[in-house]
Amino acid sequence: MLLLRRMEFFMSKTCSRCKVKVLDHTEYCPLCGGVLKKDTKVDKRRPMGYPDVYGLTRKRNLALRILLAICVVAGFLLLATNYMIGGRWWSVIPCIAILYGYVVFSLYFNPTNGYMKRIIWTFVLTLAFMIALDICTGFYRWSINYCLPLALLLYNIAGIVLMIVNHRRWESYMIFLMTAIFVGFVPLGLIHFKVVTEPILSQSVFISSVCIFLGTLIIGGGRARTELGRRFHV
Amino acid sequence: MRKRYKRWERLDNTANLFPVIAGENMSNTYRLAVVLKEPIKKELLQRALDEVLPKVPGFRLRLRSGFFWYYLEENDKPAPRVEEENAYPCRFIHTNQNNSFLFRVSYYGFRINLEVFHVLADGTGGLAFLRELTYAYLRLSHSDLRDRVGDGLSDETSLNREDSFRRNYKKASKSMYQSKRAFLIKGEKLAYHGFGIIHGHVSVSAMRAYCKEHGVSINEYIVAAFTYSTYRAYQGKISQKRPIRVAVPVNLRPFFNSITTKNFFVMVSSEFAPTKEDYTFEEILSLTHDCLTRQITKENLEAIFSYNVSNEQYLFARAVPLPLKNIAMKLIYTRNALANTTTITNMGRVTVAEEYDPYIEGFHCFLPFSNGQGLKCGVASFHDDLVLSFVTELEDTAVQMGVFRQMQQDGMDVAVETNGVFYE
Repeated sequence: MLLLRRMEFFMSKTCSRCKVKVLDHTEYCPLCGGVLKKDTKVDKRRPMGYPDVYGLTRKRNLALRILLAICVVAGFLLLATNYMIGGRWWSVIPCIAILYGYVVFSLYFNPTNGYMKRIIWTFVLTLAFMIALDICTGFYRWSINYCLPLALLLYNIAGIVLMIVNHRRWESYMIFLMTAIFVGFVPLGLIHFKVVTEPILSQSVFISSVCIFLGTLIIGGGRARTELGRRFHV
Repeated sequence: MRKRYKRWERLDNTANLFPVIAGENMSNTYRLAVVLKEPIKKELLQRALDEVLPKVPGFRLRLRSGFFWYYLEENDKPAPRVEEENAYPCRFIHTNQNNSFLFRVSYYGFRINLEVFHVLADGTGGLAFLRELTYAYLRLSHSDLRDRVGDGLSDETSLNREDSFRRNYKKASKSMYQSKRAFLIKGEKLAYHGFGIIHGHVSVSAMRAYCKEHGVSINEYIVAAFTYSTYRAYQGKISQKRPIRVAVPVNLRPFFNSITTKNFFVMVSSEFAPTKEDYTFEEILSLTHDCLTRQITKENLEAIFSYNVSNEQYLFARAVPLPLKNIAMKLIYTRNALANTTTITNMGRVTVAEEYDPYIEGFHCFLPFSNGQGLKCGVASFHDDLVLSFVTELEDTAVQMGVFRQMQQDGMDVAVETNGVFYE
């Protein structure tokens, strides 16, 4: 339709206040808002045309807003019920679960988030959710004794899987593995400050992170070294 | 045989800033568009892109972040998909989408749009790519053309990727950039993050005749028309303390004999700080001419970019981790961004090879609005058609109206068209 319309000879209009020709299919001037006067002569110039983005934008993100409303209402109802019944604040746990679910859903729902961002944030959010659950249920430290090192182990495995799947650009995941080493210092610090009470798993995972990275660096040879050279160029 | 090592390159001095400040609200992605005399066919445009991209290494790149700097790395993925335009122009190019390429090709009706993340190239580099893409498209669309001109890149295209900032800088100590706050155009914003576009078509010969008569360049005339229009629309708010300052990018290639496709430009500013009650357009035109002529000299342009490059060369600055650099650059940028009322970029006269000329109707360009600068203007001309493209986030079109009315008063016929958001 648009193309057919564009093929036609175009009858432009003029704004008598601004003294400009207006090529749009409109009745009033986009500059001053005055009503346009039809030209008697046919104009050779055709309007370029643009899609109607304005209409589409209004409909976007409606699903996310509905979901947000459901989450907020559900959380409020849980807290209100808990308040009326009294006793322990059990409603905090489902509220945290709802918040976790909503944030993870938003992370995956947004098409502009890349897979790396999704993977990393899923780890971070899941871990935060576990720690919050642990704190809410009496802080028996299962989240930092076991969940934190296991998450790091899974992170390393994810790095290796990504290297295999995307083997043409495997070296670009070297940084991914390197971050596992840096993050691995966190449980070591927690051991030092006696927050982590079962150190074996955390220490083993840190050692495995270092081994995986060094193995990749040595086996990867020139490509691995070039990648690190690029990443760390000053 | 597959290559073992990927080619990579450092970002040029200007490009270092773009990944730091770019985001959904300030994309730093500019648009160059060509309007043909025939409707665009998606399949042919995709084939044209598939053909041209492997021949232009400067566009076959992706952005990566290192520990100290961002850098560009060879991207061996297939060319990005060509789409019919279905969103506002100049959207942020996410580095993990679009097959990781830093440009986007779309079409609408008779128009081919090339949107380029500024980290890759400036307007000159982008235009060279758009020209080649258009040539390839026309050769596919018209087989006789292919028989006549062959299939390679045209000899006017450069593939040079030197960092001309580094090559030409001299040690400098003083910042040449304005950081004092300028008058900023504010007002009601278009609904739903609207992106308003108003194109104004003016005859080049009519404008040139007026400029010749007054001894100014076309660029100076446009900047003066904008300044005068803003002055008239917001007279009470413009003062010595809050002057109208128009940033004008200057292409450095002719001054330094460069043919790079990387960024190679600096910003100069045309400042208007009123010292009396009332000004005529002729007075502002004369002030603008003096202000820009004084700044656009090789020595001054060299001094402007030398300061930035010198800072980049300090080992201490280089060795700062990227996240800290990002914070510092963001702070400096935010301060400097408010030092300009707007940016007017002029691509100048676009020419094409003789063989392709009969198929092309025109070119236009624009860059997106940014923090503090809710209204910007891009200018390009082809044959006798000069297109001023105003982009805005604001509902009010008083400044654009003033510019076009001024041109009309100066004897130029103006035809305008918009993207329709002002009628909602």
